[in-house]
Amino acid sequence: MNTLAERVLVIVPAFQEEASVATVVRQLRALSASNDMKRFALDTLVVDDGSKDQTAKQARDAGAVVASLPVNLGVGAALQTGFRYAVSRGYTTVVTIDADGQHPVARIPQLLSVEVVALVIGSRFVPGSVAPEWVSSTRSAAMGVLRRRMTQRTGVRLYDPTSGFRVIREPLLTRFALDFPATYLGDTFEAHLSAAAILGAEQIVEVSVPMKARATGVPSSVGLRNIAYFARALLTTARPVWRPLGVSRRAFEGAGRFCDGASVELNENLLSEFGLTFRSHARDSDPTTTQTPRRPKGSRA
Amino acid sequence: MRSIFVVPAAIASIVLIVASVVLYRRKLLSVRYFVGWATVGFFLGIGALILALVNGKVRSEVLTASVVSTGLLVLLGLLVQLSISVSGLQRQLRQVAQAVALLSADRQADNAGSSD
Repeated sequence: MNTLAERVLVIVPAFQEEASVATVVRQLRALSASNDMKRFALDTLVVDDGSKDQTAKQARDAGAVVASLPVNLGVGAALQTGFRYAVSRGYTTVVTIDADGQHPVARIPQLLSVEVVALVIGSRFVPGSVAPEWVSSTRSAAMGVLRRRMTQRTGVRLYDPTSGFRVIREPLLTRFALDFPATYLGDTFEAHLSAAAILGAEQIVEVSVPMKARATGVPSSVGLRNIAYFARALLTTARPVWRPLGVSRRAFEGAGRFCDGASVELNENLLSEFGLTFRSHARDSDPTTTQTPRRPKGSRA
Repeated sequence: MRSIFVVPAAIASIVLIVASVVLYRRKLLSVRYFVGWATVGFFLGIGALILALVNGKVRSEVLTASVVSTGLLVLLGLLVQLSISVSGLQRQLRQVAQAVALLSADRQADNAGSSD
């Protein structure tokens, strides 16, 4: 392995994906060894979201490191587990990709080639790209509503605000490690909305990526559930309700447990942005300091 | 006129206090909820006493409306408190589950690293 290569963690959240997860992991390993990835050292983490089938075993046998959640927490919580793993292991760049094979692994170098920005989204609907046939007109209309909400709230125009195929870099990564919605659509739309609000348009880039329909497994959202997720996303991002991820005092609780070393310094910077400070309970010499945030009197969380 | 609420309120007060004590002793109720429900039972008893004292001095419609609305407010308060409590537990469960998953992933990654 090239020791000067940038370490990148590919996070694959998986729930009941025994039929496809091994293929995705093998494709990732093949990509990691290819010439396209000379500048990057690609590691794979599959987060098994409490699957009852052989998802974890298939992923492990295919060569991935697997974080197994003992209960099903939702795709957002699975992704957050991956972000926490990344931050605690010193990664500053992660790629998130579905385990169902919808996202083309071969396009990862294209996403990674967009440097400097904190969020690169693999988009199905960027002008010039061919919108996939399997996206229904109802779904397209719903996406249009979400797009408008994104623009109204942040001034940022995203063509595919619900894509889960993306590259996330610092400082967004630590923020997401601290605070990330557990729910479907929260992990994409709400997260992208926060990124747009916190970082601004110049830190977000969409790259045209063709995506396939799911070949195996069960989709997270069908029928009425889809409508419920959509309604919930609209409610949680309504003006009086919404607050960008990673800015509440609660989000910083337990930060020291998941984000140690350099990341805690970064968290302190983040905290100071919002008028929050760390209160250290441990001795300065203790590298495993657990720190809890305290809001100064009179400041807003 | 004797208020129809006095006797039921007094009985409910005693039942609530006894039930919370029994449940706490059987470890079915945490100390926090034992104290909470016992306090509700205590105030229910005080309410029954007040109702008995104001009997005949206040119009029965006013008394009924006051008792029902106070009861509803207390129940709504308890529901909100329980919702906050359950949300906190969900957050804690999520943290614990993630910590377990991270621990296993860390061990696997460390083992893979040491065997290279």
